[in-house]
Amino acid sequence: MGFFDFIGRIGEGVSKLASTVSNFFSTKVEPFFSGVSSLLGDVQGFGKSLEGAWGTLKELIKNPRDLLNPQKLLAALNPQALLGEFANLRRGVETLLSALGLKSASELPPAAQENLVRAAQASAWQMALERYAA
Amino acid sequence: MSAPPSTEQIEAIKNRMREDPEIQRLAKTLGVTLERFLSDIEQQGESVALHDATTPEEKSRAEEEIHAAAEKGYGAAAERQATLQGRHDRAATAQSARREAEALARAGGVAKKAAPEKLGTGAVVAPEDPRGQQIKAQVTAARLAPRRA
Repeated sequence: MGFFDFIGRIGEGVSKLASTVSNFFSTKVEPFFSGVSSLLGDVQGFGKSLEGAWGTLKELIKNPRDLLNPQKLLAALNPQALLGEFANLRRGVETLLSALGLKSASELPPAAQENLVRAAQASAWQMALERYAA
Repeated sequence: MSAPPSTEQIEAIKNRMREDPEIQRLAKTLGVTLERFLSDIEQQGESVALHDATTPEEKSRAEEEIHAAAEKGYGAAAERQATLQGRHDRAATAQSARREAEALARAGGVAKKAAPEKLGTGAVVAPEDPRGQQIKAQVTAARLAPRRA
């Protein structure tokens, strides 16, 4: 392999890495949830009605690709809308799956399932901090 | 919580979560084991790393879409609640009217039983008794009604 070939391979590798990194979105969770809450603050009844939360969730997540949209996913499963209850988070995930016509999260493409698990973890941890760390 | 939790606090919180049946069900719904769900939960709770396949256009529309979805979701819920409340009010009015009619019928029965011979000629009732007032009104109406031939 010549020198320029070698440099070219490194260039390809760096480009692939950059693409992978740009496909990965990292955000601080708490400010994000606060941001969503203030964004939705003027929606009448927001955070007070579970029926409203299920309706919002169905509007936001209409196909598996929506699970690869971090803003939509975290907005759908945000603890304030689900009144900070683990049971509501679980029901939220079930509602989301049923909106996609799925019985189990394992039927999702791997990246979508991973996002769903991580978003649920983020939401559950916020709820746990509120509940247990007081 | 303002300060980040210590390692001991994190473990204590995870233990509480581990015992919670709802967390166990949640992990099952997500298709992962409970231990997998709890393993790095504090990291996701601090700074969540998610795959992002949104286009720049979708990103710029996201806030608008989230707001619109919430308005639709909560709007529909409020509308449904108002409809149910309306039904509830109508049902309550009907029930109240039915109860009133039943009370009147019962009161009439009591008056007949107490003084059957006096009906139509003026039954004596206590003026402070509201049921008595109703009976009195009925009796007066009966007196004023034209007699059948």
